[in-house]
Amino acid sequence: MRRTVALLLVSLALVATACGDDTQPANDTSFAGDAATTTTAAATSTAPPADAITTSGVETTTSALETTTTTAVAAKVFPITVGSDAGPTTIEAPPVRIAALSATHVEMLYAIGAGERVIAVDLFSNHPAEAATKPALDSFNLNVEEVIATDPDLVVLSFDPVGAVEALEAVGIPTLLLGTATTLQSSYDQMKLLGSATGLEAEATQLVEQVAADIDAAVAAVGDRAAGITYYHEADPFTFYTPTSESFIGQIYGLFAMENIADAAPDAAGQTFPQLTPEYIVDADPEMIFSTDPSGDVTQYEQREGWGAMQAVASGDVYFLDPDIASRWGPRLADLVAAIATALIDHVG
Amino acid sequence: MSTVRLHNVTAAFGKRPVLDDLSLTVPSGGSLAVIGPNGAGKSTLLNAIAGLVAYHGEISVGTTPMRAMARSTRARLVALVPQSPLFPAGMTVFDYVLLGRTPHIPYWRSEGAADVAITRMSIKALDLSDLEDRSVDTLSGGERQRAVLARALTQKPEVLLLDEPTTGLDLGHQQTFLELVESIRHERGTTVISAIHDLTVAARCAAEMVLLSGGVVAATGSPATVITEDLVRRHYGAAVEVIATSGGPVVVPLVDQTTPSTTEPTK
Amino acid sequence: MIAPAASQRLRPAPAMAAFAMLAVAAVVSVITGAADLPVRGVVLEVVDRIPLLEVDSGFTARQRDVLWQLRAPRMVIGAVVGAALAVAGAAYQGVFRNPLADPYLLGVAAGAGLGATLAIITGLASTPLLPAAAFAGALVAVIVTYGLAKLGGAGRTTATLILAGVAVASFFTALQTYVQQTSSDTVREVFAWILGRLATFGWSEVLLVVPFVAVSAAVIVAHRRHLDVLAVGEGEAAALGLDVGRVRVLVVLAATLATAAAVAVAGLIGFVGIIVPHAVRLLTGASYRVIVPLSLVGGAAFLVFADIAARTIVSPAELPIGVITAFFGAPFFAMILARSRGAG
Repeated sequence: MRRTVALLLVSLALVATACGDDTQPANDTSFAGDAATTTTAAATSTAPPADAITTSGVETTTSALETTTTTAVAAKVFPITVGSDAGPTTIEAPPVRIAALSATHVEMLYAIGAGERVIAVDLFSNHPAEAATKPALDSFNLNVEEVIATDPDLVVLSFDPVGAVEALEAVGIPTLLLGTATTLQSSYDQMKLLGSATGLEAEATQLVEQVAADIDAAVAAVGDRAAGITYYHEADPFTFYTPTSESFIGQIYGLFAMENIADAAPDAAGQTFPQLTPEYIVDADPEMIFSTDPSGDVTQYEQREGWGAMQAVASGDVYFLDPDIASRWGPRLADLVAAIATALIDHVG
Repeated sequence: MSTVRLHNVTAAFGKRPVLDDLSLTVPSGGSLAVIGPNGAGKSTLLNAIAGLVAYHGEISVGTTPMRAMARSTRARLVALVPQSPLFPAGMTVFDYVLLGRTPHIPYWRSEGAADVAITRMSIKALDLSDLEDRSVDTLSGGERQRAVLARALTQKPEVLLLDEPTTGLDLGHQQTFLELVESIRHERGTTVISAIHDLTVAARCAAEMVLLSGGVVAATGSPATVITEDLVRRHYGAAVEVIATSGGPVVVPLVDQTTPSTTEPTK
Repeated sequence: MIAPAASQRLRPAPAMAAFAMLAVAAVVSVITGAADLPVRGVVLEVVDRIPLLEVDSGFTARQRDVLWQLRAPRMVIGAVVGAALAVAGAAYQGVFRNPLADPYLLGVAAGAGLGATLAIITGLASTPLLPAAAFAGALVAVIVTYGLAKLGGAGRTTATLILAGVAVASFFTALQTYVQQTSSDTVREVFAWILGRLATFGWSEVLLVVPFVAVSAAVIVAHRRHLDVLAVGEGEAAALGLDVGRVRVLVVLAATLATAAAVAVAGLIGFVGIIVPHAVRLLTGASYRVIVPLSLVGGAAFLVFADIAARTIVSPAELPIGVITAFFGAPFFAMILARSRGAG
């Protein structure tokens, strides 16, 4: 018995040694030089990006917010230092190999015209279509060396449970940690930050203005007809953790002055995602229910115990939002607002 | 030198006193057999001398009171062969016997060459040399008892305490064991105190005897004076016949033969 | 005729084998990884580090950083954490005379986790108070586990202590999960913690952990002889002159400190304290004089190998290392439980 186990351990050791011996590449091309050589101003474009935000069936009206006319910004001098949730990071030169491991930020980068600079995305990055073709990494079980192996000169993350930021900084790769937006303004700030980081400040500012304008337009189209309408936004049909009006998406609904039934929930004080009970929801009887279920199947609501009697269910006021658009805080926020506006117009008639 | 003195020793478990104001003396190099019914306090007496149970009163070896002694000092003086020793699986006989050197090895050190040599000698003395590398839990009963005794000897004690050392041993092994103890006592002048169950065997293996009953000394003296039919009936509640022989008293339990056997066939 | 060395002293052959395994693990660990680092370059880099020797490995700055800022510290942390958990397991087994004792199964690791979490959410993450908090939590856990087991009374078996440990572990882990979830949106971090993570460490973490593990290991190694004496039970050990109380307190404190340091830096990694000492027992016998030092080295090698597996098995993703150790640990645990059934 002893000998067998000993033999086993020795062979294990030998196997491990054998496995570790990589084939040596003839040409060590994986780390093709550190410094990017592209000039800064060359990449800026003045035309709006190809995948511009389309507003769905809502009149475009010029917004009342202050539009700072962005003149073509003179070539920004790199290196610059940008701050993210992980602290300040210095970027030496405009990044041309961006590993954006967050679907939201992939959308932002494409929207400001940095799309072709994105060399790696995460598994959920499905928009725009070109992004889905890029190599995808698992951002949940992040393997830092895999990220390094893509040879990025900038990494963007939206969360970091494993300390990847620290590791990437230790290897000299600037990393931005841009967490989930808490307000609309923070979303705009992130877009501008990415603009600064990529030397596309003008484009980013323009994007922000465009999104803001589209949002304003959608809100204006509804006017005050939505004021006071009660709604329930279903984020989790199993445990009923629900966003209040303090949450990000709650603030979006708040643009229409709608009322969130989760605000009055018993344990909601100070929380942005209290857990409701189905009984509470039925009792609150919201006028509109918003669901992010991709199936778009309303019968599941009708089948729930007691839900069939709710006014929203009975009168067909259960609206389905695209789950991607509802969970991201990038340029398609305008699409989200527009979708809600469409639902509202449909509801109020 | 290694005279064991107990003076007004009381030991209790909770409220119940197990040893009640006990006093006795064992001369240096002498041998004492402690007998008594179950629960009389024999084990507690030995454990008290070994410093394993709390007691009131005074116990001393030679001129030194045990109470004030450091644990390792005590272990160098007194060695206990317990009633049911634990034999850890996988421990070799050598390592088991080497444990006896524990009180002699400084806290932060390991055993030295001298310790190994003494261990070897004890093993040889108890005829365990062939079993050195065997795991202690694979030994037979007799071999185990020899191993425990070897360990006790390695402590180089002045007082040897044996708690029911012959339990589970067959006659032959019993005899061998007790003879070994006697020869050790003669060679090294060790004071030996044994708690023994079997009265006849007890009578054979010690010059002095003490009958403990209910935590007090009920009788003391030579085996012939302590083992009497009357005392046995009184303290053991058993009817026996005590036969005096040249070697000492022999105790024969009396079984009542007058009632008919109930298993006899009726045909 | 040469008398056989009957005493189970640590012989050179097993010691060398253990170090050899550790060396192999270390080498394989630094040459394995998604970032392509050619073996020849790695070797030259290492040689370059030897004082008075200067060679050019041909590595770029980034490759050098990956080797020395990512892979090397990760390998060292893995070794230190593995050594800590294994030697703590051996120590607990010796002190509690229970073959199933292990920092994870006794709830000690969970206690350390709770302590560390409380320190983190009160903003003390980068201070020496973090390991102190972990240690405090671990100590509370081991005391509660031991106390609970004693309540088992006469019906106590080897499994009773483990049952108590599992209860304590579940309780502390639940508390910790709750705390982490209420403090912020850290659900993913919770899972990363609960299954252990050796991911991405710099040398600062190494420096934080090494002193504690070194002190604990030294204390346990110094007591390996005493653990052998304890094997015959507390009563006999006391009769043999051992200061049982002092030994138990010192060894338990040391094992708990080692566990706390390991957990504070790497999260909950289970079963190392079971697998390694028992593997050593199977190979070399039951004396703690051998088990303790070999568990130290063997534990280091084991966890480094486990980390290699965690990084490569589901490539390009990364498995939490606790999954690997549990995968091997659970059958080990079952085997030992079966063998020790009935033993008191």
